[in-house]
Amino acid sequence: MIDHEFISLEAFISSAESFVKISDRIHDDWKFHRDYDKQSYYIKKDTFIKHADELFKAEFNIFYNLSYGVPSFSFNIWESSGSLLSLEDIRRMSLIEIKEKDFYSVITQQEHPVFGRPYFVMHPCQTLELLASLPDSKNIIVTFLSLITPLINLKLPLEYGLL
Amino acid sequence: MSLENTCEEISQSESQVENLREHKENGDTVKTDKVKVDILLKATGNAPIMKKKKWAVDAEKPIGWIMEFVKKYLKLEPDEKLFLYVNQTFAPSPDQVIKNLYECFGTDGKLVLHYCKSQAWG
Repeated sequence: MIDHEFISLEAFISSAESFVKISDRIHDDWKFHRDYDKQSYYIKKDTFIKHADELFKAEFNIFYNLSYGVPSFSFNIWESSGSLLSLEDIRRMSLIEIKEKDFYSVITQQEHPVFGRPYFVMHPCQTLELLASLPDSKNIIVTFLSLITPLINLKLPLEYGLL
Repeated sequence: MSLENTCEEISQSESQVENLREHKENGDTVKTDKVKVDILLKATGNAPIMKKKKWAVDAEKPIGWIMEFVKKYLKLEPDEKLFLYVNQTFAPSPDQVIKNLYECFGTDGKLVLHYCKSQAWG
């Protein structure tokens, strides 16, 4: 499933389909969006997260990164007032302790390759290497997403592991 | 959604949980009544192998504790990241308790965890 150079779009789509199937079963609200004309393929979840008794609105996406040939992760989080959180706010909300330097080397705010608006995007450079170290993965999206969820306070139910 | 509920469908793991409880009841000889879970650690990718692969771990410990343990055991550099996987697919959150993982993913009385290391996340 995992090529030496990249992860094929077909592999991404089939993983996305089985991921969304599990999500539908457990009502986790991930939706698969695809547009052949724009070459945009992504799964998306809109949710609310609670941190230190405050409620935040969050949008998470996993999209197929055409340039790197890997799945990529992007997100935005808003306060209840509607203002967008800064990267530093997000680092403080992280479930694990991570140094500023480490965190900023993983996530940057940039124009989203698919949506064209500012999003926090994970750097795709190491993704392939990480996924290649688990060649027997039953679903690359689960493998990829579960790697980064501790960083951003997103809970991934255990059902996704039962593929 | 509580984890107990989510795993109810898996009858096999149910029976294993029963076993676990029996162990607990019979384990009077042990000083503490802590339930231990057998964990099998397997290297994948470029991660170094561990001489001792099977460990009995306190079921109430979070998975992050095992991560720290393996990192120390393998003498990884501080900037190296270690990831633990169940089913070779799913990396549970570091605050996930071992007992829950065992109930969901345990087979043959043990929990198999694959580990790999990396310099970075992205």
